[in-house]
Amino acid sequence: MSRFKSRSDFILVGLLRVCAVISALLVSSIIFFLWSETRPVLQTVPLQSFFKNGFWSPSEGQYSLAPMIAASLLTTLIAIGIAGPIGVFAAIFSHLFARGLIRNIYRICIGVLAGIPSVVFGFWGLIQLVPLVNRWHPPGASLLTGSLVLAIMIVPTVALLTEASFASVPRSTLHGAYALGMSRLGLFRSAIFPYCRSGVVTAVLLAAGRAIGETMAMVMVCGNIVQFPDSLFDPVRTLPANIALEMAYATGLHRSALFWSGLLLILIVTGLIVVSQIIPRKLSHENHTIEAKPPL
Amino acid sequence: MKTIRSRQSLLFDAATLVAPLIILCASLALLFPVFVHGITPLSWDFLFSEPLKSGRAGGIGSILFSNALILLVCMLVSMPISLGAAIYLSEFSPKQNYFGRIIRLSLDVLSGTPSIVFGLFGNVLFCRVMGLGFSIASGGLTLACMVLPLMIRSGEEGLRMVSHDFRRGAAALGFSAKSTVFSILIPCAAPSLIAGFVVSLGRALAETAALIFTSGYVDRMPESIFDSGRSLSVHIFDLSMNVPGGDTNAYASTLTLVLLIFIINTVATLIVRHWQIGRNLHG
Amino acid sequence: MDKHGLIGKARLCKAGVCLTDDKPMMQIRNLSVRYGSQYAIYNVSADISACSVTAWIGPSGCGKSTFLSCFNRLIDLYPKCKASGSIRWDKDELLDPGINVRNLRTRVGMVFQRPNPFPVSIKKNITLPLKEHGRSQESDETVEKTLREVGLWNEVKDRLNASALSLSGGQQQRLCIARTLALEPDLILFDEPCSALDPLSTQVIEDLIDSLRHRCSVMIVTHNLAQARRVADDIGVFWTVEGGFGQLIEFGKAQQIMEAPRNRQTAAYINGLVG
Repeated sequence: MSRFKSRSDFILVGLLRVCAVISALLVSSIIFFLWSETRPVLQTVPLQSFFKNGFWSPSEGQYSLAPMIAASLLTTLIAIGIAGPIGVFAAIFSHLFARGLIRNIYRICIGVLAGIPSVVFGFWGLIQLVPLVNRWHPPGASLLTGSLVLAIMIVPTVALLTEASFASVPRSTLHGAYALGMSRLGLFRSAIFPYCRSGVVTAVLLAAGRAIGETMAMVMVCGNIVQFPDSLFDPVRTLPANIALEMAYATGLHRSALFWSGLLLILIVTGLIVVSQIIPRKLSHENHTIEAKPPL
Repeated sequence: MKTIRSRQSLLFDAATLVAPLIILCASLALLFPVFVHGITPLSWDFLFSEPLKSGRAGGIGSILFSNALILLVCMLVSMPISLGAAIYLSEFSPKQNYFGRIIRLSLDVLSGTPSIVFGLFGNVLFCRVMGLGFSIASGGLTLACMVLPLMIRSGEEGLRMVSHDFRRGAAALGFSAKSTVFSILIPCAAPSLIAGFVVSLGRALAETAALIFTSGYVDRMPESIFDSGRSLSVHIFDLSMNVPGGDTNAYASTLTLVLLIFIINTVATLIVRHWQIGRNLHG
Repeated sequence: MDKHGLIGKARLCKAGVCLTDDKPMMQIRNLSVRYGSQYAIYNVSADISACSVTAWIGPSGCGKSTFLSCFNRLIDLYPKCKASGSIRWDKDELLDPGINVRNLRTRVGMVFQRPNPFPVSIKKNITLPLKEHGRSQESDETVEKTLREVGLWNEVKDRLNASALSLSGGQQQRLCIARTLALEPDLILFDEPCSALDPLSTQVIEDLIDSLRHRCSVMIVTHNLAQARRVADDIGVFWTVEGGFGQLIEFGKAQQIMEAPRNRQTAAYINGLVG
């Protein structure tokens, strides 16, 4: 479609290109503007002190992000540990067993869960889950509560992305497995998993990216104390939560440090996305596509 | 006729049944209290009156209005840009194209970027550099940046689904690129495109972190888009975290928000299901 | 080795002589299948003998594949599909909803129109079904045995761990037959197994089907009249009737059908006048 029949075509394509370029530029501008706000603190405070074991106390010139990075990583890991298996098995359920009414109920359920705003999860966590955990082991707002809420939030992501990767399984191969009398585990092992290895990994990585960036729910249920957790029941503060809580009144180097944590977040998530795109290429080298081959 | 069912196989079957059950229970546990506690304070009065006493009393009328304005700004800005980019990516940029790949990678990164980062970006660019301050305009523009990748992706998919036979027919009739796009492709893909916009609307409605530092906290009725205004999600956040005794109205606002999103997503699904089928030659 | 050149045990027959009596192995009575409200096949009845190759011929679209899928209950995979009538095999009613379908599929194997090996190694394609049904002792021997039976052993013995998808179409199809044979079924269903293959692979597979005769029964759906003539003992002729569904218009010994068909349609079809 690259013939230009008239000048209007030329103008049209030009306009369209501009639109596309704007989208590409957006990422660079985000990084640019974040960087411009971050520079002051990076010029003043040495890089290691952000990551060394220490305190977060900007008024005293302490800028260690370490406890908050730890909190973010821990909540994400625990959430993935819970939501990963549940999401994958739910996707298998939906793809292989669920028929008719049950399938529709499941679809509606997942769809609704996927659309619920994070502030609603946070609100629910605050009002319902925190008191529950509190009765078990005070205080209720803690690493555990945060991880649980995060897990519920990312389950739909894992389930939907995994199920989407099942679409790449050729129907004929699946039927061949049925014709061999395979059990569900057998079906999965022989006909489905070989095609979906990378899809499942991608789903988990993207869900992890979403979990790390989650803000509002974490502000509402984690307890917001900046510390390394000694147990699951310690209150913590994740990196995005920190930004949300302190931006309102931060000035100067403090504000700059918050932008630095924002920049870190986008870098981490970009890293996860890049990895999730490389992995399918590596895994699929073990999977030959069915090509036309010379007879016999 | 006995088959050996290994323990592994039984565990696998059990896991595949337990997982969706857990999801179902979690959804019910989440939605049930929201519905039960939210339905009582909910009324037409609640929906149209202004909040009083920091939101403990009164309604959410001004907040719904502010939210609507924010969404309006967001959609007006993002729709043309996303449509243009989607058309470009699907029609004028083959998948191997270097430029196309960079754009797609950028869009992937954008869609993974945390909303708080968008909040920071919006704060710098729209509130400070462009001088809009805490305003509905800043919030709307920030949200536009957020929904852009979603809309472009669904737009591109919708356009790609249009059967190549249509394009070949247009070429055989000597159509220019412009006519093919506007007379054939867009009408054909219209239901998918609209569904994509509707889904993005739902996404934008759910946003909070991107708005707290761009559109602000003010809960009065805004006079213009340059006034500060609060979105419904921010209102829920404020009521539950900062306003003692705000729980009742928080529940009602939550129920409103959840219902709105549910309606929007259902509309999008129905559009694709009933309007799109039969528009493509080969389905 | 018997006259068919078979190595390995033949369960039903010894040294080329059929031990079973004349009673039919399988009785099909009034078999009908519909998708929703549209019938695919209607009122099919026939007797299938043991140790025989039965070919089902007819133009495309008369429901032959659907018919074949009844025997291993693969029609269960299609939600709106309903089968009625009866298929009696020894003491079992195959259409009985209470029947153990997974077990049935170890006794009835299926080879599809397009080769569909699993995207794993050649060896695993055979060992996975064995393991699945608890027969993984001596799996290495079974792998070699079945690959020899389909004539693949010499071609792949040095690369058993290579991906099955790296084989040619004909090789993949033979691999699919090998993995079916590994479960030692009593009946194998072939759904146009050579339609996606070149003439050389087709010949190899036809010879293979011929050699299976005394180990198990075979049903083959084919478009290819010459192929039916070559391999079949019995032939059933399907035809699309006015209601849009398929019916069995004639069934009998291969020679009789090919040379002296009783039904006019059959004669027309055989002579290439229609279909």
